[in-house]
Amino acid sequence: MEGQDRVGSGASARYIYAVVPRVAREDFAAVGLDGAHVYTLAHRAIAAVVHDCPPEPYQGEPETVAGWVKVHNDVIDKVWSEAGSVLPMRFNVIVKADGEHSAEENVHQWLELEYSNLQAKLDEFQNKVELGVQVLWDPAIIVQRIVESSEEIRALRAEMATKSRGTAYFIEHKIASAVKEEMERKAQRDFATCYQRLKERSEGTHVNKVKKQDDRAMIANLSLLVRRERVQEIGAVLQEAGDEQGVEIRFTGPWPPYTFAATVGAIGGEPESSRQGNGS
Amino acid sequence: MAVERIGASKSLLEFADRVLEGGIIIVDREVLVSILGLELLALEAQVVTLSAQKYLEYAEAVGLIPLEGPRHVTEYVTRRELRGWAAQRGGLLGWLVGLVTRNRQRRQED
Repeated sequence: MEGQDRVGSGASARYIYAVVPRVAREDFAAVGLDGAHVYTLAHRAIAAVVHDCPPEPYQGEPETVAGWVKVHNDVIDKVWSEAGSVLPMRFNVIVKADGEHSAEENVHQWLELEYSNLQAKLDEFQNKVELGVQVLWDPAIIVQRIVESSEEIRALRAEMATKSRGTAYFIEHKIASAVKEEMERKAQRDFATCYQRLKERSEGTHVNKVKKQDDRAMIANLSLLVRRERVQEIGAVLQEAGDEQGVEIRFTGPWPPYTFAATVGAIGGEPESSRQGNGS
Repeated sequence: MAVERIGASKSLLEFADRVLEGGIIIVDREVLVSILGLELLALEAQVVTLSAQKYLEYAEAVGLIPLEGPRHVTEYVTRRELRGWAAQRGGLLGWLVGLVTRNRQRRQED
């Protein structure tokens, strides 16, 4: 396996999984990508969770990458349960040596430069989890429901039946535009209601891009930062929203706070103002 | 039950969303291994869950969807999802949806 060659003599870089509050355990055994040995590099009260690798990104067939992605998350889950809080790194963040410093020194340097920022986030995420919520519509059912429930559309359809072909054509256009408007109103209303109810119960929210689906229209794709003890409550809110005909809700988690930890940190000491966070 | 609770067996796409698009990254060309490689990988891993054709649709949709918020969400619903749906169905409803999306496209082209 490609990964077995990574560990050993050529391992001059460090793959970083996460940053955690410093834990007593330093060795997490061979649980990393391709069985890499995972351990912590402690720096003051925090630690980076790493394995040794050569200074090149992980690349491979889609199936292999999918396996790595899962292992990356598994490692983070494992250290999260031990450390109580976690800042997950994105897949494939690898720090190498430069002319002056070893890879390990560069990791320490990053932890030092970002120290207050990382520690504040670790405190913030203590006892919180990320949940994924996707709201999907079955367009067939939703359009059907709108056509059947709208007085305006019902009246227009009745009118159309009694008119000449030319007039009926104009009425058809009116119906089409009424359906369109009602769908937009409904999507906006449903999104607002659902979002509001979830926001009230969350410590943070993030609106993600909606994704193309086979036979569903995704009207919302949210990440929530939630206190552990409120996960069930969120589930109950979603259960209620999902009872509506034609509406389907996908609810995933608990995840490490990937979305809320997402920031760009520079080792070279970029000014604070140039950093981008995408938290709530 | 319309609420699908995915716990232990999280879907691959959800993994990809978070592990490849979320999380902390470090930007420093001196010490970080190829950012470009990272982006390519992200792309590759998303393909995992989608066939080649689906991937093209996916990429197109992602590129076309405006950033955030309910207004954009509804635009996406009417423009993209319904167009495909209408194409597969006859009848008044299919026709209506087709008309809505065509009108909208025309207005955007104007």
